[in-house]
Amino acid sequence: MEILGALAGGFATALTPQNLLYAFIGVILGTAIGVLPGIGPALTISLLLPVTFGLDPVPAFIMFGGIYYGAMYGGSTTSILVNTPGESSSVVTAIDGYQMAKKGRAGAALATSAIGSFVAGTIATVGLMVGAVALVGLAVRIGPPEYFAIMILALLSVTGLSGTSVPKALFATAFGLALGLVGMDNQTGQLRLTFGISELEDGIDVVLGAIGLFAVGEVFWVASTWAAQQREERQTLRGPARMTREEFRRSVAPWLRGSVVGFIIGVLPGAGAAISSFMSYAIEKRASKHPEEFGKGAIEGVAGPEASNNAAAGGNLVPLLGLGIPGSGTTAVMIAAFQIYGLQPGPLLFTQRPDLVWGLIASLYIANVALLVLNLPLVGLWVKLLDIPKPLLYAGILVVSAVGVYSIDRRPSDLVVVFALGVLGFLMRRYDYPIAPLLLGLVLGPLIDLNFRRGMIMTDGDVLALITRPGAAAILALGFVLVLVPQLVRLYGRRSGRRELATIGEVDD
Amino acid sequence: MSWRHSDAVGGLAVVALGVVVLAGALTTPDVAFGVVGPAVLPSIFGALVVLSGLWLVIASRGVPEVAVEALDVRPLALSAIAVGAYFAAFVPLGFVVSSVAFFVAMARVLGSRALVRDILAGSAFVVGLYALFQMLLTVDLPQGVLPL
Repeated sequence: MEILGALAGGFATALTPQNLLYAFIGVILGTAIGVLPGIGPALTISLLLPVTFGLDPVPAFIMFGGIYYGAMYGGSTTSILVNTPGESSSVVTAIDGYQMAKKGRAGAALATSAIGSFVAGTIATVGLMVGAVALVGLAVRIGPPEYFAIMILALLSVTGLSGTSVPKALFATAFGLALGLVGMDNQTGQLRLTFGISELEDGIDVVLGAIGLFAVGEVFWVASTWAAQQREERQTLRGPARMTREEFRRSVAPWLRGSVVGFIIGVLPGAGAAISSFMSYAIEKRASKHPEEFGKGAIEGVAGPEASNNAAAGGNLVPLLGLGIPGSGTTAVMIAAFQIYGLQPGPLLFTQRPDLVWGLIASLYIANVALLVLNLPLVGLWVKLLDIPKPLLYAGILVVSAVGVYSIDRRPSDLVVVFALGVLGFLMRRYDYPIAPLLLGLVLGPLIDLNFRRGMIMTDGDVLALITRPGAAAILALGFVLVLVPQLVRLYGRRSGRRELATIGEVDD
Repeated sequence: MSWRHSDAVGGLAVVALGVVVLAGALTTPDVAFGVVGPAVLPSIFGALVVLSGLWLVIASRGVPEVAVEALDVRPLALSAIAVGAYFAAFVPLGFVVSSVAFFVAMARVLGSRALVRDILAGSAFVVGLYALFQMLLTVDLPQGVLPL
């Protein structure tokens, strides 16, 4: 009952005309940018971060809630109508979604993903509320060793689940962690890894990481495959986004299964929306009476994964709000949003700023309803965004990126950092290195450092004592299980002969 | 083992990057404060980067090269130059001038041949952004050569 009371307070905050307006602006911006090819939720939030600089934290976070859910919705439109999806979490949707569009059922595919996203978003937000509150209750009893273990868990799973190659993921993770430690050490004032460059003393902001790796890196990648980009095929949307009764009937179970799978995967730090949509697809294919239709336009193959990637987005917020630990590239960027306001997400925030936390949760419910209302009738309008000529689109993304980078600290040297990260992002993308672990490492680096060193003070420098505390040991054991499970899943995927599933790439959501 | 395998080359580059991180970490004065000094974790992360690079080199043996898209060198090089020049000119020339010039140049690099449209679209977009940031959001953007 306590939760319901707090939620009612949250709705009271979120439903003021001003905050409602920000929720709607967030939803519209999020969907619009999410629809644009090549821009995922992490980049969307990074690019829109400066827009909120002048706002109070409550409306700013309400807007972020809308942007976050909106970007997840928008991605499905691109993957259904264009055969090259922009985000890895939509790769699976594209398999059957694009086939449906080719058969003239684009409207049905868009409808099942919009309604599925609504169902999943609502279920996940309920789960988020219960899960985050439970974690907050737990969090008061755990100390630095357990926080350290949870972050190791996040890194183990993001490395093990990244799908491509373990050494490549290990590089991304370790290098990200090292980048996160660049600058002045908070505990001793000692400069680390700055190589005498004074501009690096304040460290590398995660927003610079997201914009460099995703925006600049993406544009370089697009330029480097220019000939291939010209071959892109696009399907048109005819008529309204609507399903037949039969299609609706076939979608219901995948929505619900996808929501549950997505939420559970999303809660595990390090496992993101891409993994959950891939698992949901595999589950639907097994559950279906017509597995032969998969890959040729089975609506279950759109309904399940689309529900699961939205549910995972909600699940990702559980460790973020409950413990202050980001579990994905996107939530890593959200940490930056909190830090701009001098806030640290986690158990304390629930007691210190209940208006903000519960206002954010309430606004996620509102965003979900707004997205359903905006997406079903107006999908034709969103599709028009795909008409923007690509050269102008990418030029525009870089102009907005430059403004975003500059407006953080008004420091021209940040642009140099972003350029370097763009080159790195391009090389990583081209040679199939996962990018999300790097971004996650960037944020977790300082947090791990802090908790490891605090924990070591508690145990008088005994590493073994640190990792064998019951809580920490249990969490680390879970981490090792998580690293092993995906290897088995991949083996299964290979055996069932679905190459596109076995080779699904990185988790850069 | 083929040294032309992209994973072998990448692995060596990763090792080099890791050595740089390690060198930076090991030269950090380890001021004693608490139990673990500031250089410990950077050293571990640097070592992990080196390890991942070696692993990549070894794992590339006998594995066929993954198919990568053909590299369009010209648009890639031109876009890198355009972005580099834009970032360098952002403050000295100011946001409006550098952004409009970059917008038009970048669109051309990426294949647009409608110069007039690009100039109009770029100007409208950049001025709109300027108005949004400078006036509504009160973020000061560099003025540069324009007396705005």
